[in-house]
Amino acid sequence: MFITKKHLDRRTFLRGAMGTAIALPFLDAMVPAATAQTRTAAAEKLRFGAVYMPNGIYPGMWHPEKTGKGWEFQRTMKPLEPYREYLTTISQMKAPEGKKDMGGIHMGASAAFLNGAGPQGHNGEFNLIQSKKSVDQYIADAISGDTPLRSLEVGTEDMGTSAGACDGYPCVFFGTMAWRDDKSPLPVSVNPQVTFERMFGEPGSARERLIRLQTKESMLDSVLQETARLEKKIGAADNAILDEYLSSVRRVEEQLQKMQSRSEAIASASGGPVGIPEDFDQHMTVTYDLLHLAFQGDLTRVFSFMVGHEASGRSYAFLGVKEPHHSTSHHKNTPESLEAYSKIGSYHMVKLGQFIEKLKNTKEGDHTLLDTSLVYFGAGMSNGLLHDRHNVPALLVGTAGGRIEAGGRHIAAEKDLPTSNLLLALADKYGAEIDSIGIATGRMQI
Amino acid sequence: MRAWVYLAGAGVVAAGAAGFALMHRAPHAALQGQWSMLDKYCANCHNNDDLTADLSFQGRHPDNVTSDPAVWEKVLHKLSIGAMPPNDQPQPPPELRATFVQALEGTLDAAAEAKPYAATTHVHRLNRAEYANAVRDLFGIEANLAEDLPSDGGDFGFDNIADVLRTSPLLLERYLSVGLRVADMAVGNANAVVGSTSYRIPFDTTQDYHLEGLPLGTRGGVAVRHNFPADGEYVFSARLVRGVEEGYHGVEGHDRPHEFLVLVDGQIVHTGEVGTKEDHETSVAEGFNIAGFAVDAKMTSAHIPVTAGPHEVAFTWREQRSREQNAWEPGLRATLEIHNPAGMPRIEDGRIEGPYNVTGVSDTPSRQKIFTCRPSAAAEEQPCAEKIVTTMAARAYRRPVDKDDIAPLMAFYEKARANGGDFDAGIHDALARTLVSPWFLFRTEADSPDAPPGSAHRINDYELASRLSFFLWSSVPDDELLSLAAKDELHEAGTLEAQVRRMVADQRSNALVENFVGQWLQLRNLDSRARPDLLMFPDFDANLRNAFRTETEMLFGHVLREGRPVQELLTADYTFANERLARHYGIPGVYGSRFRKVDVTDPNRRGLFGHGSIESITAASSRTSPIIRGKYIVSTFWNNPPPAPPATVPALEASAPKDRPATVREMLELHRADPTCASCHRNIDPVGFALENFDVDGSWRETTREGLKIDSAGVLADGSKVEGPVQLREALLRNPSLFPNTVTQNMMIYALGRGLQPADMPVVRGIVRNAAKRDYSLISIVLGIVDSYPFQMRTNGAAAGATTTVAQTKE
Repeated sequence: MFITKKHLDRRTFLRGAMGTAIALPFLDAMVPAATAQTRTAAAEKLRFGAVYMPNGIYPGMWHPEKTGKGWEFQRTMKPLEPYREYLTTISQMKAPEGKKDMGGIHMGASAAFLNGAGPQGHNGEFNLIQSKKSVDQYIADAISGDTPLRSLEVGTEDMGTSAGACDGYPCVFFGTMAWRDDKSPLPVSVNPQVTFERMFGEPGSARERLIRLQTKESMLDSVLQETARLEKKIGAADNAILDEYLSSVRRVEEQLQKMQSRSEAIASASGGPVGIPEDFDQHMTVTYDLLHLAFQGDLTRVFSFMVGHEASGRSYAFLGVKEPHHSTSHHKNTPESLEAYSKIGSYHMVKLGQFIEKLKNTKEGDHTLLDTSLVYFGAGMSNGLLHDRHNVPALLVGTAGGRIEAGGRHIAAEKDLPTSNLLLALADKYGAEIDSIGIATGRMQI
Repeated sequence: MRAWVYLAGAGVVAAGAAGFALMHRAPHAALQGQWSMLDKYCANCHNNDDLTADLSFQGRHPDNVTSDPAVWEKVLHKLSIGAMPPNDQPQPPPELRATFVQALEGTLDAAAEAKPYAATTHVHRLNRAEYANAVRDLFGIEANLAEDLPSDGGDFGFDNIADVLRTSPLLLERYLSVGLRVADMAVGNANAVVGSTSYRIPFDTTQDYHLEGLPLGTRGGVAVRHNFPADGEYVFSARLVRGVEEGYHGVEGHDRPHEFLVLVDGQIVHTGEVGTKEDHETSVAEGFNIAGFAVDAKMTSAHIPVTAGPHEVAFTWREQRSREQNAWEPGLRATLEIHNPAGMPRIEDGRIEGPYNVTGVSDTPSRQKIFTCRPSAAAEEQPCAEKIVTTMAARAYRRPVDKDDIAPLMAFYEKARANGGDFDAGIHDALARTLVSPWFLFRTEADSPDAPPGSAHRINDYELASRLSFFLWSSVPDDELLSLAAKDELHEAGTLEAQVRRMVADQRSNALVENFVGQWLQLRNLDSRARPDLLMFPDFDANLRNAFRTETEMLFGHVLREGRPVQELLTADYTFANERLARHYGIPGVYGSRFRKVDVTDPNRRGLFGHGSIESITAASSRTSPIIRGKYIVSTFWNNPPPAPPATVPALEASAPKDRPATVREMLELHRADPTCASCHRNIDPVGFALENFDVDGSWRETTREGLKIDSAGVLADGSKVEGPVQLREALLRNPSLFPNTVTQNMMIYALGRGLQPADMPVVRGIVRNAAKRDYSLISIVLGIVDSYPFQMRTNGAAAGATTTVAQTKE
C-alpha cells in the first residue's frame, strides 16, 4: 500500500474537511476510480521507467557468470532473486566516455544515461544548457496518451551550487537525465509532497480542486498574453529564457486540461506526504510509492528516477558503510571496501524489489502493472574506482507487455557495445520511431 | 556622466610602487621591455611543440596582448599568485616578475578602459530564496517556501545566474500552487479546511540544555513562527524521538517526570508530564509502544483559540535547573544512542493542526499590508479593489504600473466575484495571479530606444533599485528605494552610497551573508558534508553544526557592517560563539545559548582557517583529507581551482610500504611521484597539510588517531615554506591585494548574476585598488561593485528599438 505507518506517520497527513484523518483508505478507494475512467481507452497501456544509480556498481559483484538462463545471482543483485523470471540483465556494454567535453567523469555518466549524449558544449563554456532529447521522452511521445503528466522525473538530492562542485557546467546537468528536447532539461523533483501535488493537486474537496484547476488554467492563459506584452516592452524578442517560460506555460496548460477530465477521481486523494523526509530510506520508499501510484492511477506512463546524483556525498551509514557514497566507490580493492561498495548497490536492489513487488501485486484488467511495464535500471559506470565505462550494469525488469522475452535471461552483449544501442532498442519496443540516439551504432537485439 | 570605478586610483597600488607610476603611463612600452621573460622562464613548456595547457608563447607579441585578453588575464593571475612557473623550475627574479605583472596589468586595464563591457540582460528569474524573501517583504509571510520550489541549479558557484535560471513545466506548476498558497496565507481564509503542519527537529540535535530562540527556563525543543490561516481553534502536539524498536525515548527510568510545554507568543497553553511513574510501569510491563500512546495523549493540547496571522509557537521542556546530566542515572542522560529507550525525553517534531470552529479572520500584518482600503458600500468595492491591486502590483513588479498591468489582475478579482466570492476572495485571486506574472517572476531590464543596438546605456533607477535590492537583500526593493527611483535620484552618488549603507545595516542584508557566504564558502554544504562518524565523534551534533554556520556568518556580517578590512576574515582575534561552540574550541567563560563576540587568543584558531565550518565541510566522516581541504582552500581563497582529475587514477598500493600502514602523507607523496599527478597535487596537498591539525570535527589535535605527530609542513606553489594555519594565512596575505581580489571577483559574480568576462577583470582590479585606500574594508568593496560600470550599465540587445509583433499566444 501507498504509505504505511513505518514510512510516514498518519498524523502527518493533511486532513480532510471535517477534521477526520482520511489517509490510506481514501487513496485506496481513489485509484480504482481513476483506473476505471481510463479503461475505456482501446489501446493497451504500456509503461516505462528508468532508475539511475550514481557512482557505478562493481562489475565483478554484479554480472552473472553464466549467460542465458539459470545463472547464479551475484552478491549485489541478490535481493532481486525472487523476481528472476521478470529480469533481463545485460553485460559487456559500454557507457559513453565521460570526456571533459561530455560532462566529465562523473556528471557525464548520468547526463548521458538516457540520451547517450550528455552536455553539448565544451567544459567551461558556461551557461550553455543543451543536450539531446532523451529516450524516455521519445517513448513518452509514443505511449503517454491522455495521461495528465507526460512524464515524471524524481530524485532524492538537490544539487548544491557550491564553487567548483559542478565541474565547469551549469549545475542543472547534475540533476537532469530527461530532456524534453535538446534545450529543455526536465530536472528531478526531490520533494515527495511536490510530486504528490503534481499528481493530485492540493488538498480540498472535489469542488475546490476543480475550481483550483480552472483558476490555474485561466491564469496561464492570461500569463501567455502578458508575456507577449512584456517581450515587446523590453525589446526581448526571441529571448531564449522567455521562450522556454512560454513553452512551459503551454505545457502546463495542456496538462491541467487533461487533469480536469480526471478531477473527480483525483479529488478523492486527500492524503499525501509532507515535505522531504529526513530519513533517506523513507525518502526512497515514499518516492517509489508515488511512482507506483502514478502508474496505478494512470497519471503518467513514463518516469525517470535518480536515486542520487553523481556529486553525491550521500552517507549510507545506516547500512554500516562508513564513508560517503562517492568515497566508497573509490574502494581500495580490498574485500572490506568492495563489500561496503556492494552493500550500497544491494540496498538499491532491495528498494527496487519492493517496487517490483507492488507492480506485480497491482491488477489492471487481466494484467498486472508489472506486465505492462519495463523498468531500466542502470549506471553510467561500472567500477567507480576507475570511473570505468566498460561492462556497466543494465538490468531490465518486466517485459513491456510481452514485447521482450521474459524468463530471467543474461545477455552478454558484443564487447563494448554502446549502451545507446540498448536505448534505441527500448525506443523500438515502445514504437517510438527514431533512427538513432547518442552514439548508437545500431539497434541491439533484446 | 560621472567617472566610473575603473582605473581610478591605479597609481596607488602598494606593491612595487616605485616603478609603477612610470609604468602606468606607458605600460605597453614596459611590457615590450620585459617580454623576454616569457622566453626565458615560460616558453620551455608553453611552446608550439609541447603546448602545455594548450598554451604557447611562441609567436605572441606585446602588440597583440589586448586582442586575446582571456589568455593574458590567466597569465596575469598565475604569475601574480606565484603559481607559475612551477616551483621546481627556474623562477624569474621577484623584481622582474613584479615589473612584468604590473606592465601586463596596465596594458590590459588600459584596453578595458577604452572599451568597457556591460552585459545584455533582459530577464533574470528570481531564484527560490529571492522568491521567498519577496513574498516575506511584500506580504509579511515567513514560510519555508524554498522546499516547495525545485532547486534552481546554478553556475560559477552561485544560484542567481541569469542565464541558467530557466523555467521547466515542473517549476511553473509550482509557481501556480505556491502562488495560491501564499494568497491563502496573506489574505487569510475564513473557509480554511483543517490542515496539519509538522516542524521537525533534526535527529542529531542535543536537547538537554536551553536552545537559542526558545524561552529562557526551557530545555530542548523547537520554536517556530507559524502562519495561522484564520481565527479559530488549533491543536498543538509533539512526538518523542523513537528508538529503533519504535519505542519512545525518555519514558523509562525517571524518578521525577519531565514537563512538556507548548507556548504561543510566550504564553504556556499546554503542559504534560512525561516519564511519570505510570509511564515507566506501563513501559516495563506492556512495552514502550503501549506506553507511547499515553505519552502521545499527554503531549497533545486541547483546542486552543488563536487569531489569524503569524505567532511564535514553542514546543519544549521545562528546565530542571538543579539536575545536571548524570550518565549513571538513565533519566538524566542525554543520549543519541538509538537502542537505548532511556535518557531525557527529546522532541522529534512539533505539530499544529487546525483551524476548528473558525470565527473569522482578524487583522493580520499581511492584511494590513494588503488592504490599504476597505469598501463600506458596494459602490466602493471596485475602486478599492483597484487601489489594492495597483499598490500590490507596483511593489511586486518593482516599478510604476499602468492600466495594461492592472487589467489582467483585476480580471481575476472580477471573475472571483462573478463566481460568488466576496471582496476578500476577489483580492485573493488577484494576488495569486500577481505572483505568477512574468513581471514578478522575472527582473526585467529594457533596451533603450534612444541608444543603437549593441551600445551601452545607464539602466534606469527602477532597474538599479532592483539590482541593489537583489544583491544586498535577495529581495524586492522597499518603498524608500522605489520612491528615490521615482524621483530619479537613486543613481546620484551621495544618495546611492547612503542607500547601500542603509541596506547593509538593515536586517534584510542577512540574505547577502547567508546566500553569498553560503555559496562562496560553501556553508550550504554543512548539512550534507559535516557528518563526522558518530562512533568516532560522539559529541558532534546538529547544535555544533549550526553553531559553525552561525559563527562564520556572524564574522562576515561583522566585518561587513563594522567597516572592517576584508583580511580580518582571516586574521580576526575574536569570533562569535555560544557555550556549545566555545566548549568545542576550548574558549573559557562562555555560558548559554546566545552567540556573542569573544576573544580568540590562540593564533591557530583565528579567522576562517580556524572555523569549524571550513574544516568540517572539507573532511570525510572518519578522516581528514588534505586533498579535499587543499583543493577547497586554493579554489576558494587563492581563486586557483585545479583542473578536474584524469579519468583513470593510477593505483598507489603497489609502491606503498608493505610492513606497516602508510600515512596519508606517504600515500600522497607516492602519488606526487607520478608527474601527471604532481602538476596539480603539489599545489593542493601542502595547503591541506598545513591545516592537518584540524580534525574532522574542526577540533585541534597534535597527533593522529594512531598516535603519530601531525606534520603540517609543506612548500606552496609559489615556493614559500609553510607549517600550520598561521603561516598558511601569512602566505595568503603576503600579497595584500590577492585575497581582496578573490572576494571581489566572487562578489561581482553574485552581484551581477553572471560569470565574469576577461573585460571585467580590470574593473575588479580597480575596485580593489580603491578599496586599498580604505583599508580594504569589505564595505568599500561592496560600494565599489555598486559603483562600477557593469553594475550600472547594460548593453542594448541586437534588435534594440525594433518593434516586435505580439507573439502568438496559443500554439
